[in-house]
Amino acid sequence: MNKKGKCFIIVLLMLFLLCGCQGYRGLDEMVIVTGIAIDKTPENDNYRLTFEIVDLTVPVKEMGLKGQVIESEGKTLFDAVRNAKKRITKKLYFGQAQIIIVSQEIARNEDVGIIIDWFLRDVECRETMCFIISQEETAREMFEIEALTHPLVSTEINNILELDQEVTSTTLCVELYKAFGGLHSEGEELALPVIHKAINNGKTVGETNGMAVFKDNKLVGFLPPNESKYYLFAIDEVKGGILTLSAFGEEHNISLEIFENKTGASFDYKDGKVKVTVKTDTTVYLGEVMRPYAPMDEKEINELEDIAKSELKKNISNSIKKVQSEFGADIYGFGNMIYKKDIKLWKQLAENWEEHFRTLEVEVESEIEIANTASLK
Amino acid sequence: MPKETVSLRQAACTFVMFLFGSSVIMGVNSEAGQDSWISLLLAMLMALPIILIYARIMRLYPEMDLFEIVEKVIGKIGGKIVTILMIWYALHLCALVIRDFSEFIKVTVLTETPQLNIMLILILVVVYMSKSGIETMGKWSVIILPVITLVVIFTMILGLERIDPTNLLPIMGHSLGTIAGGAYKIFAFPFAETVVFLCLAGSLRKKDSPYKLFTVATLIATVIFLLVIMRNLLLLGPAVTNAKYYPSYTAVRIINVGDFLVRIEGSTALNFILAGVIKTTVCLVAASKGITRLFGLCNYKHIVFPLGLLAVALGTLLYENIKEAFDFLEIYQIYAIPFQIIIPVFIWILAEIKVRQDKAANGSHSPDSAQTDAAG
Repeated sequence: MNKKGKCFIIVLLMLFLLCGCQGYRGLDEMVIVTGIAIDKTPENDNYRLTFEIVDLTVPVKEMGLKGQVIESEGKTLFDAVRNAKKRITKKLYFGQAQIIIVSQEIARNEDVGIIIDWFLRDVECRETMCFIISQEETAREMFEIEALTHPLVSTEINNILELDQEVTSTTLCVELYKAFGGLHSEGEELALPVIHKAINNGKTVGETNGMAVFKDNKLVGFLPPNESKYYLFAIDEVKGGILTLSAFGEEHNISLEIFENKTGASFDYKDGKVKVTVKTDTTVYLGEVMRPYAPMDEKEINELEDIAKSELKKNISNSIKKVQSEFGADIYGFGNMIYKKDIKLWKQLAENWEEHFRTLEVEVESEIEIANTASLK
Repeated sequence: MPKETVSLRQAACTFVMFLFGSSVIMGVNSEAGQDSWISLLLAMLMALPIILIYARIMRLYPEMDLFEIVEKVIGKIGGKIVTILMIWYALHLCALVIRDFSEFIKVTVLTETPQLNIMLILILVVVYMSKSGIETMGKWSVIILPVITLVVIFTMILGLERIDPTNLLPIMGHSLGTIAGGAYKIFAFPFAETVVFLCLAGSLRKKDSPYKLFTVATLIATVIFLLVIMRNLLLLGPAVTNAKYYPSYTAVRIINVGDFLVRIEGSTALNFILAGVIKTTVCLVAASKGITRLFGLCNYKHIVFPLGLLAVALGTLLYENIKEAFDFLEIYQIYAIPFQIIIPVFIWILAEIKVRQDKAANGSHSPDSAQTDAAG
């Protein structure tokens, strides 16, 4: 046999040695988790995890995608994750997990950093998972809801959150790595999206419900949707949504659809007092005028712009004032802005930033431009 | 054995790949957080003089490798001692890099595969590359370097949607000491590790300037590093960048373009492995050449395989766990001083004196020294 032939046989034999990998896991050997809900058991203070998994026992082609719920308990999160194996034949796979729902109770009593650790440490979990607070008594309840547009509850909730910013702008999908960044950056507190149950056509469904405010990594309160919208305005995360106004002597008869918004913040330090200026610049469409039809004229549009400006300005200031006085948690990242722009000043203020934040003077300037009046004159 | 030569371009590409090597997965993120890029630039400034000294040694004795040079300038016994030291450094570095790579693969991709298997398969490729020779390595680098650079640029562009420019603020938020400390770390790992190239210096042709090679390659590597640091910081922010062992990998993990281009972190893993193969090969060839010289063997290719296995064995013994691997960087920057600074500077000074003495003794008969004068 010539040399080439020998080499060929050796290579052929090597194929058997080198192919595949140790610890092979095929699709048939894993249970795909799409969402995780974290609760605590009242009796023994264990973590109770609820996983939504993709049900692969039914043929997906004929029956469609279906979810199933698995519960497990453990002293730590990872312990609970592995304990799930007691009830199922295969190991859970987290590579496709999209959301983590944490119960109010845990968020109020524990540092959320504790919860984030495992998800960020484990290599299977994606850093882009959405981190959510449940406003219901437990987090697991959220997996009992009926998803309206997708067979899997987790995907439904994830999609609701991800697209919310562009349509209603009342809440924000905070990804795991961003939440971690928020917990570990100077002069900034965390705010996470909130979901709760709602009744729709006789069925229980999931609905976003504003933002949860954290202080020192613990939940201190909620911003309902009508206030969280202005929080998003202040942190420049508005990409869409509706502003309602009262004009022409009627209550709430005008809808403006936000097309584009740009917010900038700056600060000023004088005589030991910090003053923050928030400037918003919004382009809107006039989407609805609830009155018997009459063509809009230039004057009316200008009038609307003025009303919208003062209304927006008032709402943003009120929402900031509420957060300042009620929570004292700098979810706007004003402290972070000072840290980033003037580190020397920040070093003076950092120690009692909470006090400074509470007494901070915030000036809001709003600019609104009505770009068009949709398809009616 | 016939002399292997590489062109300037091939040498430069190999050099850049060597620098890129393992440091992209573990080195370039210093504790300086958002000021890492300042550390990097400082490190480059620190590295340039020492790298120019390496180049000067090559220029003084062109077409000779370090082991021949030390024998010439220090004498037989002193030369052997330095040779042994450099063999140890090259072999140790080889083991470190292999271990870092298997550690990376273990932590990120193949969590259930024993590390020894990963290392063995890596070393098989490296031994094959070393046996194919320095010329093959040079040609391979020319092809692969653009791939690696493109992956970095490509991931940077894909990540643009998610970047937050304020992550870079405040500039100089860390004390000068921290930034300089980070800079020194980057200096020792990877910039000054290029001392290993002196062991392969014999392959550079006489007409090619080592100064040009070293400076241009260092600048190219710095630019790529800068891109990597910027990408990681802009995408992840300093907190996550510092907390993660492999921030590049994480940064690419979060890229998501229209739910279509997602989960492309395999591309960075590929990058690490491609560059790591070159770095390991260079170290392995350097150690083999040293041993060949030490024992008067005829061809370094015969001992590449046993040395490779030795490096794997050393690699398995080096650390208990990944934490030790990263903590070793602190010790490494001190441990490496003799190999990276003291020995080369020592050789350089002696070489300068020796060349001048030879010239004085031979008058204008030595073409070697005449050329050095013109270049120096």
